[in-house]
Amino acid sequence: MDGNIIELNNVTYQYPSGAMALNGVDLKLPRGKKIALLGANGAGKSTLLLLLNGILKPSIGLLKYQGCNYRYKKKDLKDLRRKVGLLFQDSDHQLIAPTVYEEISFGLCNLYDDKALVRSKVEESIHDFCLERIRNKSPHQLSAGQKKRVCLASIIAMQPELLVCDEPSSNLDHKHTEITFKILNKLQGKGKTILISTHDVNRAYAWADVVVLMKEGEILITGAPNEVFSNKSLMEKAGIKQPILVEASQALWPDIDQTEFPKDITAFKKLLNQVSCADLS
Amino acid sequence: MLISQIYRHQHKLSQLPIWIRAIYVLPCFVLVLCNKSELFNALVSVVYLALSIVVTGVSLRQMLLLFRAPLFFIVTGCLTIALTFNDPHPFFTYKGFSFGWAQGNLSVAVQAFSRSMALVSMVYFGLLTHTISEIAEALKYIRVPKILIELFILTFKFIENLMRSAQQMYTAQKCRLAYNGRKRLKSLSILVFAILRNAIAQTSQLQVAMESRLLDDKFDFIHPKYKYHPFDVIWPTMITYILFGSFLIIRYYGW
Repeated sequence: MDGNIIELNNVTYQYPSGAMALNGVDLKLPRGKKIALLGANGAGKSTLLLLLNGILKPSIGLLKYQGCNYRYKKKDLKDLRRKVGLLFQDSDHQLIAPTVYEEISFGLCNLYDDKALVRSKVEESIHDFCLERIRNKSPHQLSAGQKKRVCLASIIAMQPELLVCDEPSSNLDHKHTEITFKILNKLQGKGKTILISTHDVNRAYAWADVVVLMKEGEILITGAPNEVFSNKSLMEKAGIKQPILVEASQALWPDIDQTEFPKDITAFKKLLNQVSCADLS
Repeated sequence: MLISQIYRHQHKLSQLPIWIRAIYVLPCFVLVLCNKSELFNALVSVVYLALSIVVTGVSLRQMLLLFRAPLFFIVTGCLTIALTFNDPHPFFTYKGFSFGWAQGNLSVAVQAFSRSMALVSMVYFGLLTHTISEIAEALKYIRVPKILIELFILTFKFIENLMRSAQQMYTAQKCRLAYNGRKRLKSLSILVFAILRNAIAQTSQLQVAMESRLLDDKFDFIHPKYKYHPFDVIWPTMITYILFGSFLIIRYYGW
């Protein structure tokens, strides 16, 4: 599972209004990893995600999927969009069908002509995402958490290799955020690459294998969470706060090495005990 | 009141194939279009109103609210046919203008009213027992061009987005003391402009979302496989026979 699933070489994107959304972006997305894209509002995260799915075409630069250049002919785009699934921030922008069952079938119908195959995949997806009770309901009558699950199910049903999620936990409470990330983790466990854009630094720190930090259409740094989040000045430059565990660790132990940052509260407690015991002795 | 606000997916016919549901509506639809009896039209209006309530579980009040908009246009249209200016036998005169009933047109207006109400009643029954995708599938079956089906689905979605935006923006405006005194008209104009801009933006987002899920030029959805019993055909057939019988009785015995 080595190598990069997508590479961006010097990608620039300018909106028709003249606004520069991305400016000379070079980025490599490693296959099979959990990647978090961070940046303040207007950093170009959503534009980048739309470029990955081939919805937008770069003004300058190249995108490569598994080493092959993106091509924007209808047939090539269809092939690309099958492999790169895109989950939108606002579920209402994605839901089109009158029932959950039909919503999940929408992408599959565009992909396959065999109705029996589509039906079996829809059933499988409904089972995997525990949507049995709401399968005949209108997506607009669902709660935000259920809507997000339906959107995810409709994309996962198409079996993409890379799942791109624009703020998957937006509008969700803690419980539904946990459910959503559990699903994402499960998918990553099956070998899929997951890329999310988020403002939740604590979640990104605990969850991601790779963190990409953006500012005003440019990539500031790409690396492991410990490496990225330990760089306080860069975080400030991007207009993002450090995760609470990193901030607390740096405040308590200024000389702490970035590899020693605790990943969760239990590790933090353990570290705190160790240091306290060492101080006493 | 919008159909999408009261639509219930778990209505009594939801597990039946579309063709069986079509038997409830189509034969009678043709009868209404062919006949000239106001009594038969009134009967059909009542039957389908009652059927809508029984099958979907929507209350009578909600159904009557649903009828408000078509009723307004139908009544306006029928009055236009029935009323005449400068009538020699006016029922109302104002500053030299006299209004009267156009004798020849009155029966046409009554017939148009009864037929329109019967058709609206049946269309509502059809819309409350079929999803938009099922209607789109039916349109596809009768070879309506793809572009029109796409327009049909997007318009439906556009209206939904429009209404949602309107509701949210209206509430947001009211929270900021809009619609008070002389500000009423200005608030309304701002609302209309903002709603249209927002709904168009949302609809383009929807288009992007559909493209990301490989939208070709076809709008296909798959429905679950319906399991039905041959006896399921009995009810719609019976209703059709009863209405057809009533049609014949009214036509030949003049009831």
